[in-house]
Amino acid sequence: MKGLMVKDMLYIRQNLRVFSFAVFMAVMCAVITASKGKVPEGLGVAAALFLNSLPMLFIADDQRTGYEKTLAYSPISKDDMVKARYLMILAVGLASSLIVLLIIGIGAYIGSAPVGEVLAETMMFMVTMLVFLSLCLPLVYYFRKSNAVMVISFVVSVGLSVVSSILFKDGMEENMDISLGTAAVMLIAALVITAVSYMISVRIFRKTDIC
Amino acid sequence: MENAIEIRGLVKEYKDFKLDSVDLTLPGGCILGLIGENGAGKSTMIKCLLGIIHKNEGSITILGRDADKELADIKEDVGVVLDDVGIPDTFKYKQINAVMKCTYKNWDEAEFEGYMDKFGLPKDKKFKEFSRGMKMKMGIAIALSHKAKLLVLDEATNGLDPVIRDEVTDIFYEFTRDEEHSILISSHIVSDLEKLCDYISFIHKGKVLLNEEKDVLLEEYAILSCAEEDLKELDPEAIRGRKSGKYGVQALVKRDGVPAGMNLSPVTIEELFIFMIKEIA
Repeated sequence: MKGLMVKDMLYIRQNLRVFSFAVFMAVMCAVITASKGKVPEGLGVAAALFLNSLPMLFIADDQRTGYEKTLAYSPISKDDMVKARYLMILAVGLASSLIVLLIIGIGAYIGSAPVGEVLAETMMFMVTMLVFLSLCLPLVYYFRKSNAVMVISFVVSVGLSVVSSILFKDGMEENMDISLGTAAVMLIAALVITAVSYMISVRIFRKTDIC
Repeated sequence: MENAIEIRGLVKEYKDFKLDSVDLTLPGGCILGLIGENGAGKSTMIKCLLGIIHKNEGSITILGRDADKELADIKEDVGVVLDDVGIPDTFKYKQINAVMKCTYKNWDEAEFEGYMDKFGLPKDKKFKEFSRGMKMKMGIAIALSHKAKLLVLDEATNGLDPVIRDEVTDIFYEFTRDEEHSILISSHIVSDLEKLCDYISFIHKGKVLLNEEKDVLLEEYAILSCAEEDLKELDPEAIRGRKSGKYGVQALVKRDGVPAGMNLSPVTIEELFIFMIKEIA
């Protein structure tokens, strides 16, 4: 399992540009926070939705390069292959959240926005990542078409981002404020959903022929 | 010494193909060559052995352990090279080494570096920039660098030039000098297998035709060149295949079924295989 996680980390390091858009969104969020004194809902979520493609990129790349076969005859069980991917989601989600927290936090400090809003936005960022990936990954393991699932999830992500920005633009922003407590509860729920998703993915992948 | 591989009653069914009750044994410390035409089931058998695909029936024991229960642990001791080496495109030697070090408990960096030098593989090139032959060499280097006790090679020497193929064959031969080391190798290049293998297994349309010691096969069978009428006088049980030509008939025969004085010549493994397959066809 460690070998697979190391491989994914090296892959991320070689494909850092995937993060650049999410970082850009977080910086936009920080700038708006600094200027308005309020954390804009939705931009962080949009960044999270974009980052959702990352684990599916791993799986798609493994299928394309044939590394999946290499994994199949490596001393790693199928359960551990799935576990490594989910642990990577959690690790990437946490790391991204901390970066987002830092960036938006700077903006909030400049704009004197409440700390609670920043924390809530960061938690929603992680909730979005976890929930979306929890829905997508079992589909990837079931259909074995990670490219297709990735494209569909990306299209849906962009669609949701557009819809959310239209909703906020219409002045519903006040009604969409999420409290820190609510965000914390949603994060816990997202973690539970991730655990359930993991169990489903393991059951599916155990029955799958790798090639 | 325990058998390195024991396959009993292996069945794998696809829509248009069936691996049918395959039995195979690789004695410890030996090299088994798996020969079969395209689509015979060699790769399917190897994939079932390694757990890459599910089998429908049968039992598999690798290095004395039940593959159904301990496969992940068993793979620590198994080096594999398939016909296509799967490594992330953008990885170079350093990244491959880092990943393999964390994958295999017994990964030997110095040995890996040694094979990289021996095979002349560049350390600063991305894997996608390697030629097919270089990719196979990388796969072989990886398989040999974690103190494996069993090598499973599926068309591993394809794409290698004759000089390197000879060198790699020597490395495989050296590998089995240690009595605890065994090799299962499948290849179309029968001449390599003939040089290397102790045991030969023929597979055809999902069935194992024979699984025997190479020297026994070469002793047992011969090519008889004679006229058609002479062949009719032989016990039909002794004839395992025939080929008619301009100047008579060539037949694959069992030596002990042929009367003395007939014109027998030694058979090669390749000839043995071709005759048997044509006879079945």
